Amino acid sequence: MTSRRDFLKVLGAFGLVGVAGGLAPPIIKYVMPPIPPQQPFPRTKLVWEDGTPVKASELEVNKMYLFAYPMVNTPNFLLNLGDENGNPVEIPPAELPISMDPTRDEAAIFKAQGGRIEIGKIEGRGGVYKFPGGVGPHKSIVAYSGICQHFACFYPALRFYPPGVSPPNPPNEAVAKGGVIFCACHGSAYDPYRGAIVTESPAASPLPAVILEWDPNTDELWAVKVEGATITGKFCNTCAQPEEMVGNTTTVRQVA
Amino acid sequence: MSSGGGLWGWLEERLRLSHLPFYRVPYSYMTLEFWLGAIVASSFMLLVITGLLLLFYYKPDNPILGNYVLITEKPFGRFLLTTHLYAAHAMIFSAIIHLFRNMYRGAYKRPRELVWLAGIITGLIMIQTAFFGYSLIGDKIAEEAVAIGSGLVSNSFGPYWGKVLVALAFDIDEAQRYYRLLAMHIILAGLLGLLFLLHFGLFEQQGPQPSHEETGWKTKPERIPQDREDLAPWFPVNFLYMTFLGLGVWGLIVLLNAISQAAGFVHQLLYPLPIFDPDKLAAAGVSNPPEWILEAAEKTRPMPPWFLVYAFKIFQLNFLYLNAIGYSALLIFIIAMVLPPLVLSIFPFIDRHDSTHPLDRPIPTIVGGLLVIYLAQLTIWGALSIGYYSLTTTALIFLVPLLIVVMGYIILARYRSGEPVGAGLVLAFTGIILLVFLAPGAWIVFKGSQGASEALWADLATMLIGLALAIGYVALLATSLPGGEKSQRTVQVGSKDVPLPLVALAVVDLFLLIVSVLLLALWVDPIANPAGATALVALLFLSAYGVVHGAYRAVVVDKVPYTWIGRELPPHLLVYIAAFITAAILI
Repeated sequence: MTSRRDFLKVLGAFGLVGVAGGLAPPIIKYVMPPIPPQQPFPRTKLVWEDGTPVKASELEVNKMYLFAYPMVNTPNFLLNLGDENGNPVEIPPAELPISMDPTRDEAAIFKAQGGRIEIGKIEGRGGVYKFPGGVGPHKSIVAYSGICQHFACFYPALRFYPPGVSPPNPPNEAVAKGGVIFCACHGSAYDPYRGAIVTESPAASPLPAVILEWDPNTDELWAVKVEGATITGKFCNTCAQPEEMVGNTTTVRQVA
Repeated sequence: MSSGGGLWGWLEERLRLSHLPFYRVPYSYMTLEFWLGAIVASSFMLLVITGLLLLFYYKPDNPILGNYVLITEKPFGRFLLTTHLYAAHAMIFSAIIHLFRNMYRGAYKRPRELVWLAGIITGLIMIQTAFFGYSLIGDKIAEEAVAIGSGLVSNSFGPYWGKVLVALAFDIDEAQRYYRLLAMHIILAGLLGLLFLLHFGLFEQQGPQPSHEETGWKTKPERIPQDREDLAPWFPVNFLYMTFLGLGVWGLIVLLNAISQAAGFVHQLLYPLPIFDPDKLAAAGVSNPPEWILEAAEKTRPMPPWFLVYAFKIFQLNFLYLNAIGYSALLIFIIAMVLPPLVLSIFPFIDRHDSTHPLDRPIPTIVGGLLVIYLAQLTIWGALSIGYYSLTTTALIFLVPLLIVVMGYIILARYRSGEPVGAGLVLAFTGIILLVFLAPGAWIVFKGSQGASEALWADLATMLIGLALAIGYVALLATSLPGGEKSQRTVQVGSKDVPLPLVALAVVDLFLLIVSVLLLALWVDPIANPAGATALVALLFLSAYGVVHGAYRAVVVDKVPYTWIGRELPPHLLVYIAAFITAAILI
C-alpha cells in the first residue's frame, strides 16, 4: 500500500517543519531584548537646586538653563528669550513639521537670499505638531530638548547663543548673528525663536519642544509633555522603567 | 526517489537531490557503527547554533555578571548555555568513540591515511576550542583553566617563550582577557569547522571502509564498488538516516542536560551550570546569589572538565618533572599533549599489513587499546583523587592493563592462526590475572601498615578499572574470532507495503511533537522552570526523531523489510522515555 508510505513521508516532512517551527518561539523569546514600558508624561514642577519653585520672572533673559524631562537622562534647555538689548521677546505658536531639510526646502532658498525662513514655507515631511509658543508674563519662556537631533550631542557641545553672540566657527552669516541653538559637533543650527526649527543641516528635525505650563497666580512653571520628533537616541520619549522618569519636580540649573 | 510529477517532481527538477555527488553505500551500512562521525558532526552543528546565539549576551568586560544574568534572567538562556556545554561533552566523547572504532577496524589504512590524519588534527583543534570555551565562563573552573594553562605553558617552554605563549593565549592584561578568549574560541571553532569539512571531504573521496564481513578482514577492495546492486540513493535514504540520527543526538544531549539540571549538583564534572565563586560574583555586581550557586561553589575543587582530567592527572605524577632544567613541565606536556596524537598519527605508516583484523595488527591493537585504557584510567584516577604520586604506585596501576592486553593478544593471535596456544601460556595468563587480583590486596596491607590515606581507595579503584577495561578489551578482541569468512548481505527486494504498526509509531511521535511545540510556545516559563523548558526542547527533538524514523523506515521498507514491532520499537522507546522524563520534570 503506497499511500501509507507516502503518508509517512509527509509525516517526516512535518517532523522537520515541526522542529524548526517549535524552535522559533524560544529563539525569538531569547533574542528579543526587553522593551521598556511606555510611561505617561509626568507633570513636573520646575524647581531650583534648593527645592524652591522656579518663578517665571526669576529667569534671566537670554541665559541658558538646563533641566531633565521626561527621563532623568534627557536634558532640556529652558530659555527666557529676548532681543540684543535684553528685552523679552514674545514667541508665537506655530505648526511645525516633524522632519525638514533646510538645504533643499524652499525655505533654504529664502534663507540664501538673506531672509528669515517663514515657517509656512517649510516643506515639512512626517506630519506636523503644534508648537505652543512662549509662556510666562511676556510669553517669552520656551523649553527644548537639549539633545541635538542629528547625532545626539548635548550641552556643552549644543548650546544657545543669544542675539549678537556668534558661535565659534559659524557656518554662515545667519548663524554668526547669534540667536541660535548651535551644535559644535557637526554644525547643526536651530532657531529657538521659532520652535527650534532647523536652520542649518545636517540635523533634519526641529528640537522637540517641552510643553510648559505657567500659573499666572503663583508664577510657577511645570513641564507637562514633549512634542515633535522623538528625542534622538530614544525608542520613544517615555519608554523607560518608572525610576528612570523624573518625578514631581525637576531641578533647573543655570549654566551660562 | 523517482522524479514524478507534483510538488516533489518540481523540486527534484530544480534541486536534483538524487544527483548529489556523495559516495553511495549499501542499505546494510545504515547502522550506528558506520555513522559515528555523523554523531560528532551533529553535536558540532548544535554547538555552532547554540554558540552563535550565546554571543548575544556574552559580556567580555564582565563575564561573570553576563553569564549570571544569562542563566537567571534571559528566557532560554540557561537552556542555551547548558546545552552548549553538554553538546561539547557529547562531541568530544563521540569523537573519542569514533577514533577508537576506526583504529580498531583499521580504517586508517591505505588509501585513507589522510582522512585519519585530518581527523586527528580536527580532534586536537576540538580540544583547544573546548579549552577556550570553558575558560570563557569566568567561573572557578575557568579561572583555574587559565591559571593552570599559563603555569603549564610557562614551565614547559621556559621563561621567555612561555611568557610569549601565555600572552598570546590569555593576554597579560586581565581586563582584556575575555575579549581574547572569546576571539580565540570563535576563531578555533571556525577552524574546526573548516577542518571538519576537509576531513569529511577526504572521507567522501573514498567512502567508508568496506565492512569486514564483506572483505573477510582484508584491505581489498579499498572502496565500496559503486556498481553494487544494494546501494542506497543518498537522497532520501542517507539524508533521512542522517536527519534521524542528528535529531536523536540533539534530543539525547538536551535530555541528559534536562535531567542534570533537575538533579542539581551531583558531581562537578557533570554539573551543567557555571560554578561561580561567591566573592567573585559579589565583585561582579551580584550581591545575593541563590542557594544553588553557593552549594555548587562549596562542593567544587580544582579540576578541569573530564576530557582534560587525564592531563591534569599526568601533571600530578611528580617524578615526571625535570626539576634540574628550566623547562620542568616539558616532559609532562609532551606525554599528555604530544604523545597521544603522535602515536595515533603513525599507525597508517607502520601498519601496512593487508589484513584489517585486529589480531593481525599487534602495534595498533596493543598500543592503541592501551592508549584508550590509560586515558580512561587517568581520567577516573584524576576524578577520584588529587595529589602527587610515586613511580611505584603509577607503575603498578599501569602494569595491570599492559600485561593483560599483551598476554591476551598473544593467546588470541596464536589461537587464531591455529598454532598451539600452549598450556604454559594459558597458565601464565591466568597467573597474571590472579596476581593482579592479589596485588591490590597486598597493596592495601602494605600501604595500610604505613598509615594510608583515603587516596589509597582511589588508587585501588583505578587499578580495578584498568583490570576491567583490559579484560573487556581482550573480550572484544575475542569476538573477532574466528574471522576470515566473507559474507555479503544479499539485496532484499520486498514489497513496498508499509505495515500499520510503523504508521502508528510515527503518529504517536507526531502527537508528542505537536504537544511539545505548543507547550514550548505557549505554556512553559523558561525563567521559572529552566529544566522543564530544556526537557521540552529534548522532547521536541526526540519526537521529531521518531517521526523521521518512521519516514526513513517507509522509504527503505522494500529493502530492509519489516519483521515485527519489537525491532522497530527501540528508537521510539527513547521518545517515550523522554516524554515520561519531561512530564516528571514539568509536574
